[in-house]
Amino acid sequence: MQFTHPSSSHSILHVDSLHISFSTNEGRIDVVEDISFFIGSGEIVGLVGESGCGKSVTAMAIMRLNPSPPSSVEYGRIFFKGNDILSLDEGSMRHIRGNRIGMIFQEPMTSLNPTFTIGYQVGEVFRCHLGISQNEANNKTVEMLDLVGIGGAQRRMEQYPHELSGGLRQRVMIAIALACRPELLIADEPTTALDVTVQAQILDLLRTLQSEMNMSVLLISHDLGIVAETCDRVFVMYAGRIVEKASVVELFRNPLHPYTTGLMSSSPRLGQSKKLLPMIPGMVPSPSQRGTGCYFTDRCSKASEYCRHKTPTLEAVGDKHQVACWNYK
Amino acid sequence: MNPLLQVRNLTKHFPSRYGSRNLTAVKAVSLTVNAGETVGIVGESGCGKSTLGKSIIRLFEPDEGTVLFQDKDVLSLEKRALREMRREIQMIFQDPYGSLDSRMTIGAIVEEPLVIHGIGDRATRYKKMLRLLEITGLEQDAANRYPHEFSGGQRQRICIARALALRPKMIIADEPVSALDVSIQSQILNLLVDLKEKFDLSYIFISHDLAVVEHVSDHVAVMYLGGIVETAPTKDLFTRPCHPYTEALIKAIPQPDPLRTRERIVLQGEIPDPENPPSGCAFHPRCPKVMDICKTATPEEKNIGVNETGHLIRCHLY
Repeated sequence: MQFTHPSSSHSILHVDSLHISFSTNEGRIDVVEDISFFIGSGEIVGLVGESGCGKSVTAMAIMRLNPSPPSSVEYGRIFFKGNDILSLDEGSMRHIRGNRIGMIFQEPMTSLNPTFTIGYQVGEVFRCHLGISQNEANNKTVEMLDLVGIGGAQRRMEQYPHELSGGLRQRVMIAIALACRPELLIADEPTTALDVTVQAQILDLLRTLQSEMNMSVLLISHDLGIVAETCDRVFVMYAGRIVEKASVVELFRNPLHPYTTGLMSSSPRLGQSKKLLPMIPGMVPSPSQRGTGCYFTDRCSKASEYCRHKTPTLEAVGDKHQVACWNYK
Repeated sequence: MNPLLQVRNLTKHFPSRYGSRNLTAVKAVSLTVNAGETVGIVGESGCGKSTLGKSIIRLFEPDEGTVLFQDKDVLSLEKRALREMRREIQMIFQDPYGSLDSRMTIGAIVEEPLVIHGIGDRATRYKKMLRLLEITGLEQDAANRYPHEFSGGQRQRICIARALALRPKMIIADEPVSALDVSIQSQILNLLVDLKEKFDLSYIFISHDLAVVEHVSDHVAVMYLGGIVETAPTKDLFTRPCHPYTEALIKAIPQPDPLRTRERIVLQGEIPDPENPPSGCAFHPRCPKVMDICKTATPEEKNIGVNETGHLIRCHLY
């Protein structure tokens, strides 16, 4: 957990000054602006932010799944185990995608193909990446379904996604993502569509498998509770930029960025009896209307005129904490 | 004083897809809402909480039970009287995208209830509409714009303005903040709390989010598979959850505190198919404290609270 050596040999993933734009009818719009981070081996890192902050675009960029056009990486590089992913040809990328980097999406219903059986869809991963026969793939699929806690795997193999509940579908997604025992798992809001009791099951499952496989995880979520319980380190994103990075304990003990503190105090917590919740006024600016300087200026109670004109960069505050805010210069 | 709303043994069946069995979405639910009170209804998807809300104002026709609103029997009202009654109870829905007509201006949307109920002339309606926009924190120029120009949070404000137009006594809010981002959620929750005081409203607040329900409610009812398993004053319920399901539900919420040692009860399995509910207590296949009797006998409602408002529970453990 050292910020001083971002290219340390233990790092699985290293994102360096990534800048992503989309071309629209109104011209080029910067969606992700100059973000850098790394993920160490066996580490669970959380990426927190509200809708439209660019967290999913970042995840998709790592998998190279953003459609281009309209999206394009303006500059920046993404290193996976030292290799620059962005310079790979599509063939080599296919070898990494789903094999060495797995991904789980938010909505299991739309990410599974309704016209193929569960067995076929999990088996596909094995057939593509290991080049094994249908029969062998079937055996491995049964093993995998068992591993993610789907009972009666033989029977489930024959079923179609619509016959499964939301929780089971998400387990199938996890089976697909982990089939090849990837070194890195990207989980984009993996439990948002699920009920709390099922969410608890899925998070437990992810944690168990993560430590069994010693996998690195990039967990994208808007839920601070999930992040607090699951992650080792956290990045907070706002309007396309990372505004705060810290170890999970440090972030929740001592949140610095006004956006982070605002997020933490504005969500109701159990056992807290306040009549009115503290609010962050206004709303997230759309990517075309972010303005200049610090994008949080208009909603920030501590902002000055200076913030509106100068963009703050991430600066270290202590050894496990970085924040992009002029109040901490 | 009699309660504002009294629901007794409300039951709603839906015909099953294959016609052979009925699906019981709401099963003998009783609920009391006093004037000025917020009653929260929590439960996971498919537990019948939305059906309950809609059955109370007869957006679904209940099959059994009674609903008394201000001592009037809602279920026996004629069409015209029912419409009058609905002036007093309004509803806000989860999806602020789906519940606004995309071809009407915000002004027309907020004014529509006044038009339907023939209140005021054009000029007074217009004035009222502007006032409603102001109360709910929208700009005056919103009146001439269309829903697609607004964000989710603002659309929910529009829905709230429309619900307030007829000065109802009660609002049934069905997951009003679930589709919103965290920072917007708190704005809408605060608005609802503020309006409650200003207009002396009562709420039935339906949500799957326990923290939100705890924050807004005076009284909470926990639903599982169509039935209420536990009802208690909010503080009582959250400090002393008695039903194993309530306990598991509360403990399953991830807390934003990385140092907290978690004692989580991870429930096995998922909510059973309501077309084919388990025998006895509906929760028994997932219950960590299941006993033999749970599998055969449906638990009766018991009051384990200290006073009359009580702490009602349906569980064989008590």
